Amino acid sequence: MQLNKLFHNYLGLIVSVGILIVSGLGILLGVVPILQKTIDMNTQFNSLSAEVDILKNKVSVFESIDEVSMRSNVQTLLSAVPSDKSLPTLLGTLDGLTAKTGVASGNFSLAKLGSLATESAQRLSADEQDVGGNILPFTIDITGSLDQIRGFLAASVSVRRLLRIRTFDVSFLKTAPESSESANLVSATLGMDTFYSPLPTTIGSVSQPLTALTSTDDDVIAKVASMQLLVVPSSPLPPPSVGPSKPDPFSL
Amino acid sequence: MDTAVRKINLIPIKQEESPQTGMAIALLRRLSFWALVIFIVSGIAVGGMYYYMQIRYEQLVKTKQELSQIVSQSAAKEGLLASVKQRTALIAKIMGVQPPVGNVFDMLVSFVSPGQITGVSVDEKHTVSLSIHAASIDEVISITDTLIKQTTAHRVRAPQLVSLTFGRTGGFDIGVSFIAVF
Repeated sequence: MQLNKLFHNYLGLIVSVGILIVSGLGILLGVVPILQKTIDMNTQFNSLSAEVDILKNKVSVFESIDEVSMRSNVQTLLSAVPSDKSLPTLLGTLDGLTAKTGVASGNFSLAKLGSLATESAQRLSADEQDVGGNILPFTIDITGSLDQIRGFLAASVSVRRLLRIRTFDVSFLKTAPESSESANLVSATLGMDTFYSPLPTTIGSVSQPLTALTSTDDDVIAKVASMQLLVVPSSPLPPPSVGPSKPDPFSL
Repeated sequence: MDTAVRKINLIPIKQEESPQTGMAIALLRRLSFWALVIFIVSGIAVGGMYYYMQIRYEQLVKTKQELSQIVSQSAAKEGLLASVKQRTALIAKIMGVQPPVGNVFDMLVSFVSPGQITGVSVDEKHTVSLSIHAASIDEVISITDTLIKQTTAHRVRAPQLVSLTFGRTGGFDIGVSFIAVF
Protein backbone atom coordinates (compact mmCIF):
# COMPACT_ATOMS: atom_id res chain seq x y z
CA MET A 1 0.00 0.00 0.00
CA GLN A 2 2.86 2.28 0.94
CA LEU A 3 4.79 1.33 -2.26
CA ASN A 4 1.75 1.96 -4.37
CA LYS A 5 1.35 5.32 -2.75
CA LEU A 6 4.99 6.14 -3.31
CA PHE A 7 4.75 5.06 -6.98
CA HIS A 8 1.68 7.13 -7.42
CA ASN A 9 3.34 10.13 -5.89
CA TYR A 10 6.52 9.89 -7.99
CA LEU A 11 5.01 8.60 -11.26
CA GLY A 12 5.99 11.70 -13.25
CA LEU A 13 9.48 11.56 -11.93
CA ILE A 14 9.89 7.87 -12.74
CA VAL A 15 8.63 8.39 -16.31
CA SER A 16 11.03 11.30 -16.84
CA VAL A 17 13.98 9.31 -15.54
CA GLY A 18 12.95 6.33 -17.68
CA ILE A 19 12.77 8.46 -20.82
CA LEU A 20 16.12 9.98 -19.98
CA ILE A 21 17.74 6.58 -19.54
CA VAL A 22 16.18 5.13 -22.71
CA SER A 23 17.17 8.19 -24.75
CA GLY A 24 20.71 8.16 -23.36
CA LEU A 25 21.15 4.45 -24.03
CA GLY A 26 19.61 4.84 -27.47
CA ILE A 27 22.04 7.59 -28.36
CA LEU A 28 25.03 5.75 -26.92
CA LEU A 29 24.25 2.29 -28.22
CA GLY A 30 22.33 3.13 -31.38
CA VAL A 31 23.01 6.56 -32.80
CA VAL A 32 26.73 6.84 -32.01
CA PRO A 33 27.75 3.45 -33.51
CA ILE A 34 25.72 4.14 -36.65
CA LEU A 35 27.28 7.58 -36.88
CA GLN A 36 30.71 6.00 -36.54
CA LYS A 37 29.84 3.50 -39.28
CA THR A 38 28.59 6.32 -41.47
CA ILE A 39 31.83 8.24 -40.97
CA ASP A 40 33.88 5.09 -41.77
CA MET A 41 31.75 4.47 -44.84
CA ASN A 42 32.26 8.06 -45.92
CA THR A 43 36.03 7.58 -45.65
CA GLN A 44 35.82 4.39 -47.70
CA PHE A 45 33.52 6.15 -50.12
CA ASN A 46 36.01 8.94 -50.66
CA SER A 47 38.85 6.47 -51.21
CA LEU A 48 36.71 4.42 -53.59
CA SER A 49 35.58 7.58 -55.32
CA ALA A 50 39.23 8.52 -55.98
CA GLU A 51 39.85 5.06 -57.46
CA VAL A 52 36.75 5.36 -59.63
CA ASP A 53 37.95 8.76 -60.85
CA ILE A 54 41.28 7.19 -61.83
CA LEU A 55 39.46 4.40 -63.62
CA LYS A 56 37.18 6.88 -65.40
CA ASN A 57 40.25 8.81 -66.48
CA LYS A 58 41.86 5.60 -67.69
CA VAL A 59 38.80 4.63 -69.67
CA SER A 60 38.64 8.08 -71.25
CA VAL A 61 42.35 7.78 -72.14
CA PHE A 62 41.73 4.39 -73.72
CA GLU A 63 38.81 5.77 -75.67
CA SER A 64 41.03 8.52 -77.03
CA ILE A 65 43.70 6.07 -78.18
CA ASP A 66 43.79 5.00 -81.77
CA GLU A 67 45.31 1.55 -81.52
CA VAL A 68 46.55 1.54 -85.11
CA SER A 69 48.43 4.83 -84.81
CA MET A 70 49.74 3.79 -81.42
CA ARG A 71 51.20 0.62 -82.92
CA SER A 72 52.74 2.74 -85.65
CA ASN A 73 54.26 5.02 -83.00
CA VAL A 74 55.75 2.05 -81.18
CA GLN A 75 57.29 0.85 -84.45
CA THR A 76 58.72 4.32 -85.13
CA LEU A 77 60.21 4.61 -81.68
CA LEU A 78 61.58 1.07 -81.82
CA SER A 79 63.37 1.96 -85.03
CA ALA A 80 65.21 4.68 -83.09
CA VAL A 81 65.88 2.68 -79.93
CA PRO A 82 65.22 -1.02 -80.44
CA SER A 83 64.29 -3.42 -77.69
CA ASP A 84 67.53 -5.37 -78.10
CA LYS A 85 71.05 -4.76 -79.42
CA SER A 86 69.79 -5.29 -82.97
CA LEU A 87 73.20 -5.45 -84.65
CA PRO A 88 71.71 -5.66 -88.15
CA THR A 89 70.03 -2.26 -87.80
CA LEU A 90 73.21 -0.79 -86.30
CA LEU A 91 75.39 -2.06 -89.11
CA GLY A 92 72.79 -1.07 -91.66
CA THR A 93 72.60 2.44 -90.23
CA LEU A 94 76.38 2.84 -90.27
CA ASP A 95 76.48 1.49 -93.79
CA GLY A 96 73.79 3.96 -94.80
CA LEU A 97 75.64 6.80 -93.11
CA THR A 98 78.92 6.07 -94.85
CA ALA A 99 77.13 5.77 -98.19
CA LYS A 100 75.23 9.00 -97.57
CA THR A 101 78.25 11.05 -96.56
CA GLY A 102 80.76 9.41 -98.88
CA VAL A 103 83.27 8.38 -96.24
CA ALA A 104 85.00 5.02 -96.37
CA SER A 105 84.58 2.89 -93.29
CA GLY A 106 87.40 0.82 -91.91
CA ASN A 107 87.66 -1.06 -88.65
CA PHE A 108 84.53 -1.54 -86.65
CA SER A 109 84.58 -3.00 -83.18
CA LEU A 110 81.95 -3.47 -80.53
CA ALA A 111 83.22 -2.83 -77.04
CA LYS A 112 80.53 -4.53 -74.99
CA LEU A 113 78.97 -7.17 -77.13
CA GLY A 114 77.99 -9.72 -74.48
CA SER A 115 74.86 -11.66 -75.13
CA LEU A 116 73.24 -11.18 -78.49
CA ALA A 117 69.86 -11.26 -76.81
CA THR A 118 68.48 -8.57 -74.60
CA GLU A 119 69.84 -8.66 -71.11
CA SER A 120 66.99 -7.19 -69.16
CA ALA A 121 68.53 -8.14 -65.81
CA GLN A 122 71.91 -6.74 -66.74
CA ARG A 123 73.32 -4.23 -64.29
CA LEU A 124 73.29 -0.75 -65.77
CA SER A 125 76.34 1.48 -65.64
CA ALA A 126 76.10 4.99 -64.21
CA ASP A 127 75.91 6.39 -67.74
CA GLU A 128 73.16 3.94 -68.62
CA GLN A 129 71.28 4.82 -65.47
CA ASP A 130 71.46 8.49 -66.44
CA VAL A 131 70.02 7.74 -69.85
CA GLY A 132 67.58 5.14 -68.56
CA GLY A 133 68.47 2.52 -71.15
CA ASN A 134 71.23 0.23 -72.28
CA ILE A 135 74.24 1.56 -74.15
CA LEU A 136 76.17 -0.42 -76.73
CA PRO A 137 79.54 1.27 -77.30
CA PHE A 138 81.49 0.72 -80.49
CA THR A 139 84.39 2.18 -82.41
CA ILE A 140 84.55 2.86 -86.12
CA ASP A 141 87.32 4.15 -88.35
CA ILE A 142 86.33 6.31 -91.27
CA THR A 143 88.31 8.02 -93.95
CA GLY A 144 87.33 10.85 -96.23
CA SER A 145 87.70 14.53 -96.87
CA LEU A 146 87.22 16.94 -93.99
CA ASP A 147 83.80 17.90 -95.32
CA GLN A 148 82.77 14.28 -95.59
CA ILE A 149 83.90 13.61 -92.03
CA ARG A 150 82.00 16.68 -90.85
CA GLY A 151 78.98 15.44 -92.77
CA PHE A 152 79.27 12.07 -91.09
CA LEU A 153 79.52 13.66 -87.64
CA ALA A 154 76.52 15.87 -88.30
CA ALA A 155 74.39 13.14 -89.87
CA SER A 156 75.15 10.52 -87.24
CA VAL A 157 73.11 12.35 -84.61
CA SER A 158 70.11 12.82 -86.86
CA VAL A 159 69.32 9.34 -88.06
CA ARG A 160 67.36 6.41 -86.81
CA ARG A 161 68.65 4.44 -84.95
CA LEU A 162 70.00 6.88 -82.41
CA LEU A 163 73.77 7.24 -82.15
CA ARG A 164 75.99 9.31 -79.95
CA ILE A 165 79.57 10.33 -80.67
CA ARG A 166 81.47 9.87 -77.44
CA THR A 167 85.00 10.61 -78.66
CA PHE A 168 86.71 11.20 -81.94
CA ASP A 169 90.26 11.39 -83.09
CA VAL A 170 90.95 12.92 -86.48
CA SER A 171 94.29 12.65 -88.23
CA PHE A 172 95.16 14.46 -91.42
CA LEU A 173 96.68 11.87 -93.68
CA LYS A 174 97.86 14.11 -96.42
CA THR A 175 98.34 17.78 -96.83
CA ALA A 176 98.30 18.43 -100.49
CA PRO A 177 97.60 21.63 -102.38
CA GLU A 178 94.02 22.85 -101.99
CA SER A 179 93.25 22.17 -105.61
CA SER A 180 94.23 18.54 -105.33
CA GLU A 181 91.43 16.03 -105.05
CA SER A 182 93.10 14.35 -102.10
CA ALA A 183 93.56 17.60 -100.23
CA ASN A 184 92.67 17.37 -96.55
CA LEU A 185 92.14 13.63 -96.66
CA VAL A 186 91.53 12.72 -93.06
CA SER A 187 91.11 9.58 -91.06
CA ALA A 188 88.92 9.58 -88.00
CA THR A 189 88.43 7.07 -85.24
CA LEU A 190 85.06 7.58 -83.64
CA GLY A 191 84.06 6.22 -80.26
CA MET A 192 80.31 5.98 -80.51
CA ASP A 193 77.34 4.69 -78.54
CA THR A 194 74.07 3.28 -79.66
CA PHE A 195 71.13 2.58 -77.43
CA TYR A 196 68.61 -0.13 -76.79
CA SER A 197 66.10 -0.84 -74.09
CA PRO A 198 63.70 -3.72 -73.52
CA LEU A 199 60.04 -2.90 -73.70
CA PRO A 200 58.15 -2.92 -70.40
CA THR A 201 57.04 -6.43 -69.51
CA THR A 202 54.35 -5.49 -67.06
CA ILE A 203 51.64 -2.92 -66.91
CA GLY A 204 50.46 -1.21 -63.75
CA SER A 205 47.58 -2.39 -61.63
CA VAL A 206 44.04 -1.57 -62.67
CA SER A 207 43.84 1.29 -60.20
CA GLN A 208 47.21 2.78 -61.15
CA PRO A 209 46.82 6.22 -62.74
CA LEU A 210 47.49 6.53 -66.43
CA THR A 211 48.26 9.65 -68.39
CA ALA A 212 47.62 10.17 -72.06
CA LEU A 213 50.41 11.15 -74.41
CA THR A 214 51.55 14.66 -73.70
CA SER A 215 52.63 17.24 -76.24
CA THR A 216 56.23 16.43 -75.26
CA ASP A 217 55.64 12.79 -76.17
CA ASP A 218 54.07 13.84 -79.47
CA ASP A 219 57.04 16.13 -80.16
CA VAL A 220 59.50 13.30 -79.55
CA ILE A 221 57.51 10.97 -81.81
CA ALA A 222 57.38 13.64 -84.53
CA LYS A 223 61.09 14.30 -84.16
CA VAL A 224 61.96 10.62 -84.43
CA ALA A 225 59.61 10.19 -87.38
CA SER A 226 61.36 13.07 -89.15
CA MET A 227 64.77 11.43 -88.73
CA GLN A 228 66.05 9.59 -91.70
CA LEU A 229 65.64 5.84 -91.50
CA LEU A 230 68.68 4.41 -93.22
CA VAL A 231 67.76 0.79 -92.77
CA VAL A 232 64.40 -0.85 -93.15
CA PRO A 233 63.99 -3.86 -90.93
CA SER A 234 63.60 -6.94 -93.11
CA SER A 235 61.39 -8.66 -90.59
CA PRO A 236 58.81 -7.13 -88.29
CA LEU A 237 60.21 -5.81 -85.07
CA PRO A 238 59.90 -8.29 -82.23
CA PRO A 239 56.75 -7.88 -80.22
CA PRO A 240 57.22 -6.97 -76.62
CA SER A 241 56.66 -9.87 -74.28
CA VAL A 242 54.84 -10.05 -71.00
CA GLY A 243 54.57 -12.71 -68.34
CA PRO A 244 52.46 -15.78 -69.08
CA SER A 245 49.93 -14.96 -66.38
CA LYS A 246 48.60 -11.94 -68.23
CA PRO A 247 47.30 -11.47 -71.75
CA ASP A 248 49.96 -9.97 -73.98
CA PRO A 249 49.06 -6.27 -74.08
CA PHE A 250 52.09 -5.38 -76.20
CA SER A 251 51.50 -7.76 -79.06
CA LEU A 252 51.89 -5.92 -82.32
CA MET B 1 -12.21 19.88 16.60
CA ASP B 2 -9.09 19.66 14.53
CA THR B 3 -8.62 15.98 15.19
CA ALA B 4 -12.22 15.36 14.28
CA VAL B 5 -11.89 17.04 10.90
CA ARG B 6 -8.92 14.95 10.09
CA LYS B 7 -10.64 11.80 10.91
CA ILE B 8 -13.68 12.48 8.74
CA ASN B 9 -11.69 13.79 5.63
CA LEU B 10 -11.86 11.04 3.00
CA ILE B 11 -9.61 12.77 0.47
CA PRO B 12 -5.99 12.10 1.29
CA ILE B 13 -4.10 15.19 2.04
CA LYS B 14 -1.57 15.88 -0.70
CA GLN B 15 1.91 16.31 0.64
CA GLU B 16 3.26 19.67 -0.13
CA GLU B 17 6.42 19.70 -2.31
CA SER B 18 9.26 21.93 -1.43
CA PRO B 19 10.08 24.57 -4.12
CA GLN B 20 13.50 22.97 -4.72
CA THR B 21 12.00 19.55 -5.38
CA GLY B 22 9.46 21.07 -7.73
CA MET B 23 12.15 22.79 -9.70
CA ALA B 24 14.23 19.64 -9.90
CA ILE B 25 11.29 17.62 -11.14
CA ALA B 26 10.44 20.25 -13.76
CA LEU B 27 14.06 20.33 -14.90
CA LEU B 28 14.16 16.58 -15.12
CA ARG B 29 10.99 16.51 -17.18
CA ARG B 30 12.36 19.12 -19.53
CA LEU B 31 15.65 17.27 -19.78
CA SER B 32 13.96 13.99 -20.53
CA PHE B 33 11.81 15.65 -23.16
CA TRP B 34 14.80 17.14 -24.94
CA ALA B 35 16.77 13.91 -24.61
CA LEU B 36 13.92 12.10 -26.29
CA VAL B 37 13.74 14.73 -29.03
CA ILE B 38 17.50 14.53 -29.60
CA PHE B 39 17.36 10.74 -29.68
CA ILE B 40 14.56 10.64 -32.22
CA VAL B 41 15.86 13.42 -34.43
CA SER B 42 19.48 12.23 -34.39
CA GLY B 43 18.33 8.64 -34.88
CA ILE B 44 16.33 9.57 -37.96
CA ALA B 45 19.11 11.82 -39.32
CA VAL B 46 21.96 9.38 -38.73
CA GLY B 47 19.94 6.43 -39.92
CA GLY B 48 18.96 8.29 -43.07
CA MET B 49 22.52 9.34 -43.66
CA TYR B 50 23.75 5.80 -43.20
CA TYR B 51 21.16 4.44 -45.59
CA TYR B 52 21.97 7.11 -48.19
CA MET B 53 25.71 6.46 -47.87
CA GLN B 54 25.22 2.75 -48.18
CA ILE B 55 23.24 3.12 -51.39
CA ARG B 56 25.83 5.47 -52.85
CA TYR B 57 28.68 3.20 -51.76
CA GLU B 58 27.08 0.17 -53.38
CA GLN B 59 26.52 2.16 -56.58
CA LEU B 60 30.17 3.20 -56.55
CA VAL B 61 31.34 -0.37 -56.01
CA LYS B 62 29.27 -1.43 -58.99
CA THR B 63 30.68 1.41 -61.11
CA LYS B 64 34.21 0.44 -60.10
CA GLN B 65 33.61 -3.17 -61.10
CA GLU B 66 32.31 -2.09 -64.51
CA LEU B 67 35.22 0.30 -65.09
CA SER B 68 37.75 -2.27 -63.90
CA GLN B 69 36.36 -4.68 -66.43
CA ILE B 70 36.71 -2.13 -69.23
CA VAL B 71 40.28 -1.35 -68.13
CA SER B 72 41.16 -5.05 -68.05
CA GLN B 73 39.78 -5.45 -71.55
CA SER B 74 41.96 -2.54 -72.73
CA ALA B 75 45.23 -4.13 -71.59
CA ALA B 76 46.60 -4.10 -75.14
CA LYS B 77 46.04 -0.35 -75.43
CA GLU B 78 47.55 0.20 -72.01
CA GLY B 79 50.59 -1.85 -73.00
CA LEU B 80 51.04 0.19 -76.17
CA LEU B 81 50.65 3.45 -74.29
CA ALA B 82 53.12 2.32 -71.62
CA SER B 83 55.60 1.31 -74.33
CA VAL B 84 55.28 4.63 -76.16
CA LYS B 85 55.59 6.67 -72.99
CA GLN B 86 58.59 4.70 -71.75
CA ARG B 87 60.32 5.01 -75.10
CA THR B 88 59.59 8.70 -75.63
CA ALA B 89 61.02 9.45 -72.18
CA LEU B 90 64.08 7.39 -73.01
CA ILE B 91 64.56 8.98 -76.42
CA ALA B 92 64.15 12.48 -74.99
CA LYS B 93 66.93 11.68 -72.53
CA ILE B 94 69.16 10.24 -75.25
CA MET B 95 68.62 13.32 -77.42
CA GLY B 96 69.71 15.38 -74.45
CA VAL B 97 73.04 13.56 -74.30
CA GLN B 98 73.84 13.70 -78.00
CA PRO B 99 76.43 16.49 -78.15
CA PRO B 100 76.74 17.98 -81.63
CA VAL B 101 80.45 17.22 -81.79
CA GLY B 102 80.42 17.98 -85.48
CA ASN B 103 80.19 21.63 -84.45
CA VAL B 104 83.77 21.40 -83.19
CA PHE B 105 84.96 21.78 -86.78
CA ASP B 106 82.84 24.89 -87.26
CA MET B 107 84.51 26.28 -84.18
CA LEU B 108 87.99 25.26 -85.36
CA VAL B 109 87.74 26.83 -88.79
CA SER B 110 86.84 30.11 -87.12
CA PHE B 111 90.39 30.47 -85.84
CA VAL B 112 92.52 28.08 -87.86
CA SER B 113 92.42 27.12 -91.50
CA PRO B 114 91.79 23.42 -92.20
CA GLY B 115 95.17 23.19 -93.93
CA GLN B 116 96.92 24.05 -90.69
CA ILE B 117 95.25 21.33 -88.63
CA THR B 118 97.26 18.14 -88.32
CA GLY B 119 95.15 16.38 -85.74
CA VAL B 120 92.01 16.84 -83.66
CA SER B 121 90.65 14.71 -80.87
CA VAL B 122 87.69 15.13 -78.60
CA ASP B 123 87.28 13.10 -75.43
CA GLU B 124 84.21 12.23 -73.38
CA LYS B 125 84.47 15.43 -71.36
CA HIS B 126 84.46 17.45 -74.59
CA THR B 127 88.08 18.37 -74.20
CA VAL B 128 89.39 19.18 -77.64
CA SER B 129 93.07 18.53 -78.27
CA LEU B 130 94.27 20.23 -81.41
CA SER B 131 97.57 19.92 -83.25
CA ILE B 132 98.33 22.75 -85.61
CA HIS B 133 101.16 23.51 -87.94
CA ALA B 134 101.79 27.23 -88.26
CA ALA B 135 104.19 28.63 -90.85
CA SER B 136 105.28 31.60 -88.81
CA ILE B 137 105.21 33.04 -85.32
CA ASP B 138 102.63 35.58 -86.54
CA GLU B 139 100.26 32.75 -87.34
CA VAL B 140 100.86 31.28 -83.88
CA ILE B 141 100.02 34.62 -82.29
CA SER B 142 96.97 35.00 -84.50
CA ILE B 143 95.71 31.52 -83.57
CA THR B 144 96.20 32.02 -79.84
CA ASP B 145 94.58 35.46 -80.00
CA THR B 146 91.52 34.06 -81.76
CA LEU B 147 91.31 31.22 -79.26
CA ILE B 148 91.27 33.73 -76.43
CA LYS B 149 88.49 35.63 -78.22
CA GLN B 150 86.53 32.38 -78.48
CA THR B 151 86.93 32.00 -74.72
CA THR B 152 85.61 35.51 -74.15
CA ALA B 153 82.67 34.65 -76.39
CA HIS B 154 82.06 31.56 -74.20
CA ARG B 155 82.41 29.18 -77.10
CA VAL B 156 85.35 27.43 -75.44
CA ARG B 157 86.57 27.06 -71.88
CA ALA B 158 89.97 26.55 -70.28
CA PRO B 159 92.20 26.99 -73.35
CA GLN B 160 95.73 25.74 -72.83
CA LEU B 161 98.84 25.90 -74.94
CA VAL B 162 100.09 22.36 -74.48
CA SER B 163 103.17 22.49 -76.69
CA LEU B 164 105.03 24.79 -79.05
CA THR B 165 107.76 23.29 -81.15
CA PHE B 166 109.92 24.88 -83.79
CA GLY B 167 110.08 22.27 -86.51
CA ARG B 168 113.19 21.29 -88.44
CA THR B 169 111.41 21.87 -91.70
CA GLY B 170 110.48 25.34 -90.60
CA GLY B 171 107.30 26.57 -89.03
CA PHE B 172 105.83 25.77 -85.65
CA ASP B 173 103.93 22.77 -84.35
CA ILE B 174 101.43 23.88 -81.73
CA GLY B 175 99.42 21.74 -79.38
CA VAL B 176 96.40 23.43 -77.81
CA SER B 177 93.54 22.07 -75.78
CA PHE B 178 90.26 23.53 -74.63
CA ILE B 179 86.84 22.43 -73.54
CA ALA B 180 84.24 22.90 -76.22
CA VAL B 181 80.95 24.46 -75.18
CA PHE B 182 78.10 22.95 -77.20
